[in-house]
Amino acid sequence: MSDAAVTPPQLTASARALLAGRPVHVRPSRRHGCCGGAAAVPVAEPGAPELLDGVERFEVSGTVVYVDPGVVGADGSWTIDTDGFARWRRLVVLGVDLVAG
Amino acid sequence: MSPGDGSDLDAVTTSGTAAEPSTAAALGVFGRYLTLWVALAIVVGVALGQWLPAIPDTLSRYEYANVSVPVAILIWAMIFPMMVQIDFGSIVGVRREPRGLVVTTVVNWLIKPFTMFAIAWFFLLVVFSPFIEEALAREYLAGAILLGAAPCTAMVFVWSLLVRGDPAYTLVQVSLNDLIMLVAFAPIVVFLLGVSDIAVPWDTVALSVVLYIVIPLAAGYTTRLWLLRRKGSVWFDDVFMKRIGVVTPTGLILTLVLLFAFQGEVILDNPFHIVLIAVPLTIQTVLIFAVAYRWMHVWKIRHAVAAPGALIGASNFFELAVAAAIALFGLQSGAALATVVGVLVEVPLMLALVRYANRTRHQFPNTPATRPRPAT
Repeated sequence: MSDAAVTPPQLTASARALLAGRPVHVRPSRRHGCCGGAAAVPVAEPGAPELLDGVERFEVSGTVVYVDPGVVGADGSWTIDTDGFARWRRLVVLGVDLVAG
Repeated sequence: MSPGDGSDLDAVTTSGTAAEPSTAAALGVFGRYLTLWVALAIVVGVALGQWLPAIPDTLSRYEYANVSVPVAILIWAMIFPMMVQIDFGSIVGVRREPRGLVVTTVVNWLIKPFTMFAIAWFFLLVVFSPFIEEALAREYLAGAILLGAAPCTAMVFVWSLLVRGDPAYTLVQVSLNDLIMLVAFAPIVVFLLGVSDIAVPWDTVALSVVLYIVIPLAAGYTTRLWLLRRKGSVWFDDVFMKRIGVVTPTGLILTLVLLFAFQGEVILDNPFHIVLIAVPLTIQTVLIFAVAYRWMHVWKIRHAVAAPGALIGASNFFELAVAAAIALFGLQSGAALATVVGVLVEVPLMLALVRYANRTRHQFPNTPATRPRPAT
């Protein structure tokens, strides 16, 4: 994780609409390389984490945002937005780096 | 227009971390020294075939419908973990960085297979004709064609990490590639093998696609959905993916040991062929990277998309290429050997391209062209 303090993200209107008042959990999601190694992709999912150890908590425009340790780059300007359309809409994290898994 | 509704696009800065990620941390011990492990697998496999021939002989007896059961199990072990981590849901982000996706998709599917064929044909059947007999050269060409038709689907996350690529773009590109691969791999392979006068029955190609793409993909997707529903996404990533991470490298090395137990004579007779096969594969990798990277440069696509996009095209889905080579031509074939040479040169070559991409970062825009304006 970056040594710098995690800053609260910005939530787009469509992300807030998708969450509809639920909290959101931002965490690294592991992906393995076929030739070894791994990288963790930042993902945002509706809901609160089960374990809160080391997890940063923010409240952004009425939405509670939990950010796991290991989400690198969340010390600058970063955003939770949505991709897709209609019922195939999902949350996406922008401005946060991949990290070694 | 309300802020952040997806229609108001604005440029914002990327994340604040400036340091390049550590290669050692990203690749791990296995990935960093992959070339060494592959070389050791060749030595162990050849030794096994020469001194303990009973082992490969026994294993070769377990066949069903002309498919070697031990080999099929090892190949599934290699491919399944790659398939289970594919997040097809991310395909909904296809509109976010369309120009980057266009470049990589065109390079991967409309350029790469054909340049691989042309370069491999030129070197293996023309330049190196005094050193490789024609029948064997055509087998090596077949292996190169299989490599060219199988773009990277997993290692790209590591390459993307090393060039500080955009994670959302990488996810979308990987899922798009996997969907295209389902329908494009077999026709491209059959067409290029046909052009090369290498006869492969359609039903054999179809069987290898079903065995080594469709079945692992369906099994991976079903397993993923089932585990996510039953255990949750955090358990899936933190427990399941951690446990399964070791399966692919283990399957890869065991497959190579088995393959070289059967390849012993070919290697011992022509050890220099490994170097000859590596020449066109290396040129192809650098060329495809250059085409995609410079195309993105001309289109002023930001570096966080351009670099991983170019690396996706340059890298290959070796497990699939090795599996298809074994299924179509057999463990003892030159095609199988050529696909393994691809694995042998992969990591050093890709790390050189990663270094080049990082050194030329300043030539690209460093802010995203399209980023939804954050809500206040």
